[in-house]
Amino acid sequence: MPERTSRIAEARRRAADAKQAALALAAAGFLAIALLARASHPGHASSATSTSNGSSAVQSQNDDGLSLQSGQLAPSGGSGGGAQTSVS
Amino acid sequence: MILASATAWYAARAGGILAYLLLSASVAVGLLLSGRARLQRWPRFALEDVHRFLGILAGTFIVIHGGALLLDHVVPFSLGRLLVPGTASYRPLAVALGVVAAELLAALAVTNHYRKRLPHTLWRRLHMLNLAVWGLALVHGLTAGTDAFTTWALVLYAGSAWLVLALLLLRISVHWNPVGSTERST
Repeated sequence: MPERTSRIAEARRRAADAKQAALALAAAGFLAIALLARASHPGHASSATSTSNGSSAVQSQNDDGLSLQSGQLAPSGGSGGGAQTSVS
Repeated sequence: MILASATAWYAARAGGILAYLLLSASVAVGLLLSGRARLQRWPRFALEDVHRFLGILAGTFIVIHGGALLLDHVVPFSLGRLLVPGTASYRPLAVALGVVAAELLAALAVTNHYRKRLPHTLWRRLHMLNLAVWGLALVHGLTAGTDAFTTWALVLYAGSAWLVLALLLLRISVHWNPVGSTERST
């Protein structure tokens, strides 16, 4: 019986260690992926400007000024002032 | 302001990819559990504990992903657009897949919370929908992700997809060959 208890306790400890490792890996992975994302598509030499009708036009470019992939963004309301981004 | 927005933009991208990876890990452990795998040093309760924790961690990073998108100014998302599928102005279908996946995951988390009050068969069938969540998240990442087709992201997506699909095939083969699985487990 004590042996069984110790095996259960050992498994509990192993699970706790695995969870701690997962948490540490997730935190490190988050930073690493953010840095990779920054390196691959800096993306955000962004400038947000307001148009006369109050809607905003957001333009984002890669550091070299090239569009990566384009997607059209409609403003949340109003008819004019379409926003264009070149995030990819 | 621009610096903060850039940080939010990187956090959104990293949070999304990490949420998918953690979800993949959770699904992989779940497939091991459902396949009745016998790991000598890992009793079922310990694997369940890790499986649950990975799911919670995935959910946390989904919240970080969504929260960072709200703070970011490149792709203007309102809370409504983050919660209602198909209303995003940026790649609406691709974003909708992510929204549906996140909301389905939240609903399944509720069923997990009330697991003991639900009939086991019902809970189990509902729990299998996590595979659909994983599939939706994968397609969402590939179609909406800014970094989806960079080499490093493709390696992460392909590696995790391969792992989950391999375990799923193993699980299906065990299901259709129960005698073999009994022999393997003894």
